[in-house]
Amino acid sequence: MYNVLHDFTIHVKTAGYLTAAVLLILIVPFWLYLTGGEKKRKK
Amino acid sequence: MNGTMEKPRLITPFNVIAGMILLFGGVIVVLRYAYGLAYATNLSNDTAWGLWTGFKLVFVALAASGYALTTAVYIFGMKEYHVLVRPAVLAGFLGYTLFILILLFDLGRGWRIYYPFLIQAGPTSALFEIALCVALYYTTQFLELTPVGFEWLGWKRWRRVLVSVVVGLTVFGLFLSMLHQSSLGALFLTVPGKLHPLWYSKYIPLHFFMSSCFGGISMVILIGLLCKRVWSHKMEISREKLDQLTIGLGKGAAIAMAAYFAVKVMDVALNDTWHYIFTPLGLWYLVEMLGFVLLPLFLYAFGYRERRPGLIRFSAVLAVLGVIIHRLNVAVIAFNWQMPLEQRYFPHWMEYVTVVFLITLGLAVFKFVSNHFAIVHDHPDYHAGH
Repeated sequence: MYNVLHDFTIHVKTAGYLTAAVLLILIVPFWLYLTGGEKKRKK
Repeated sequence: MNGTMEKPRLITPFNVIAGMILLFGGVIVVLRYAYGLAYATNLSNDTAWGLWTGFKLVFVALAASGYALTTAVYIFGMKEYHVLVRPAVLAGFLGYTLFILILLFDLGRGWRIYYPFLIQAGPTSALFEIALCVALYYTTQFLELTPVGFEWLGWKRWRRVLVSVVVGLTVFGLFLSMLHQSSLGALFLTVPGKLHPLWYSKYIPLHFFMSSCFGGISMVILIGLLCKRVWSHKMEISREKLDQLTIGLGKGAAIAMAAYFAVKVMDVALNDTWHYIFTPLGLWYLVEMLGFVLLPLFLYAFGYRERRPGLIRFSAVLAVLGVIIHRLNVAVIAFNWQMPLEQRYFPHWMEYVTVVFLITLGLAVFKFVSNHFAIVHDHPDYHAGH
């Protein structure tokens, strides 16, 4: 699959950055869901 | 001298069953010391770390209840949780006691346990750092509990001195906990070929520390429930108030678990270990991550959002099981994973009995201390003063 170490590094770094981006985006819906009850009760 | 309640009954179902387990387990411990490790364990030169090492990690991780709650109360000022501090610190102290006891069983020459400090220090070794931190933290937790003893003795002046330094002790304890919780993970950095790639990571110290955070919070939730069930007549907190505290702890646990889950997913990405996931051990990894991290994480979040304390307590059980499974996976199940099955380590029945013996001992001591000292209630002479 990987011919040289460079290919492997590029693959792993890309997967790492993409996963980090997805996880960072997921923080927002998680936080909104978690604290949604608080807002509902305040209303 | 003693300002506690009525005398508890001696003959109860718990006492009888615990007494039998302690008697049988005590015999096994004597046999282990009489005939050595080879008699009582299946450890070998290939597998020198077994079930007892796994439970050392479990005891320390779950003993995080002490630092988790004292940090919340004394550093972050969440005073409403103060009522749970003493039971949490006592549970933490007993967790470390069990760690030390199982370490003494596991060491070939347990009587040389002081060697790292006095005879042959190894300051570059992770194990030395763990020994130093655990010894110091054990002393710190003991000092945090000494006001309980001084109240019982009626030594008001000494009690006042210890209560006045509790914030300092908490900061010191948090510092030491962060160090040794992560260093226990760092021990496994020495075995990259032996530990399965899904569990091995250069960030394994971080995994250990982060999982101890939600493990500690989950233990506080369960300890609160246990105390309310067993000592409801003593606890000066209503069921409704305890439910509110449980819901608040659930939010903390959900956030800690979300951070841990994200770090673990990142780890698979950075180590490029996706292809291991659909192997037998990989499926077991999925059970750990989905069943005992992701599921309790969402149940915690749902329980907090909908204010359901029962659901949060169920999530706490799953989360504690998740920490136990993680530590046993690292130390036993995913360890030496490339060895042929017939050569692999399977714990001896005496190892299981010793673990049950120690857990029972911990519960019995917790019950005894809570029955006789001001743990789950304020001492009448120092009402709301600790």
